[in-house]
Amino acid sequence: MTMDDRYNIIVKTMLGQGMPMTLKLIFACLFFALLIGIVFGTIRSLKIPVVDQILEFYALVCRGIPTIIVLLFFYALLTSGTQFWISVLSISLVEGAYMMEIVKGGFLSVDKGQWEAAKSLSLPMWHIITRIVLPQVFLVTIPALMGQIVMLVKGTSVAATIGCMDVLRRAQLLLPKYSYPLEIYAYVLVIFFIMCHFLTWLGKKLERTVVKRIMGDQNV
Amino acid sequence: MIKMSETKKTVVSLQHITKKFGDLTVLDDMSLDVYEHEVVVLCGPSGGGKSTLLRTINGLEKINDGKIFYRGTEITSHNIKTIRKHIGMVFQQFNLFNNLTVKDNLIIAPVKTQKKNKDEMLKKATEYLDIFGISDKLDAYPHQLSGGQKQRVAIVRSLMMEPDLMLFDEPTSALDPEMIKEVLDAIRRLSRMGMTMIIVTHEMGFAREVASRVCFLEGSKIRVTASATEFFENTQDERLQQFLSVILRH
Repeated sequence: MTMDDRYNIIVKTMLGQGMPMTLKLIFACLFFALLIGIVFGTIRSLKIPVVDQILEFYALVCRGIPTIIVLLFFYALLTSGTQFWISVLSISLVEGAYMMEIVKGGFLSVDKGQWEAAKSLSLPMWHIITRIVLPQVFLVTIPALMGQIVMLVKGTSVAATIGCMDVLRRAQLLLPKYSYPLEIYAYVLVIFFIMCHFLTWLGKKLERTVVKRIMGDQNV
Repeated sequence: MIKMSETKKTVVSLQHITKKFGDLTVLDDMSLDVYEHEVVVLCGPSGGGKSTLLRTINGLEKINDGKIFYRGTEITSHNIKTIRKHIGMVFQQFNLFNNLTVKDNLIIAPVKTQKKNKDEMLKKATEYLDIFGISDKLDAYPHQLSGGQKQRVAIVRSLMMEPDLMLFDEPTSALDPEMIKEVLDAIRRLSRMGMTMIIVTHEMGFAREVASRVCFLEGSKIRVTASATEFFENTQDERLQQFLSVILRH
């Protein structure tokens, strides 16, 4: 393999063609998984009968099945829909279930006195949740959420199995042309490692700056 | 006495209220009227129902039986949100909103619930903080304040709603001894302003000084209600004498 080949593989194919799809997958899955996590996590913290049992069942199922199997199941089940959206659906459902549990845990960690003080000031429920409780949930769950986001980024690579043209899939398509699978996979490995490591670093940074400034040391 | 209560306006009237937690009766057929500009202190041993009584008034605890009237209107689950706007509550654990600065803690309720102008409220907040000696803490987060400062901010937060009645649930119990005085001074100031207050406290010297009336709660009942002087000096109730002799001596 020449240096030109390497340039083509890494810069043109993987980063140029694969990365936009990987990033699209990451942001779409992140959006829907966080949406599921925040909305259902909030609902779970309210412990509404029946609704809570349904959500608990959802968490049980989605956390108990490997993402790749959920993905293949939906790929077989849904006759319409692109590989991209089927991947987003599957990954978001699985990661959303984890995020829901994290958000619910965050709600439980917010002192009941915060609710009581807000109620005694007649704040409407909507404001209590959006201005007081949810921000505190975020602040205390940043470490756990960032960990889960890293899992999500890693998890998007399963989309390659149904033909989503992400970094991994682009790399796989290069294999017949070049007989250096080890080297090609090594590039994929490094690309994912850099993305995940950056997010882990960002999480720690947020914890040490924003969280510490607002909530003080006890949560860091 | 009877004549006086007729001329005074009743702010809160508890009529035969009962509160149970499961099988445990915490408030047993209690009645109490609180009049305008009165400071009523509730004291007694732990588990006597003092805090619960206070919390029923602004609906943080639902009663199982009886009625509570606020200025002649019966408090129900429908009107509690409106009535709460007139009732300030100060908690033992301060309960300042941890994610908001002092400034935002103070203005969030008047701006969001009473739709007051934000700049006017900021001005008002600054004035109050100045009165209570914490004007330099406007931009601080709660974790940067001492206990005494937190409690004074909590008092100001209630005042921002211009309450008609203030409830204090052991406001100094979570404080270091040095900080108790600054919080009690703040409450004294309110009493001079003529604020109607119900205070649960173990600070007997303070109770004697500010209270119009003192109630002794024990075994889910209001055992004694008397004026401060009568309560501390002339009580005939043996159990109260025993309680006072222990608590005043220590």
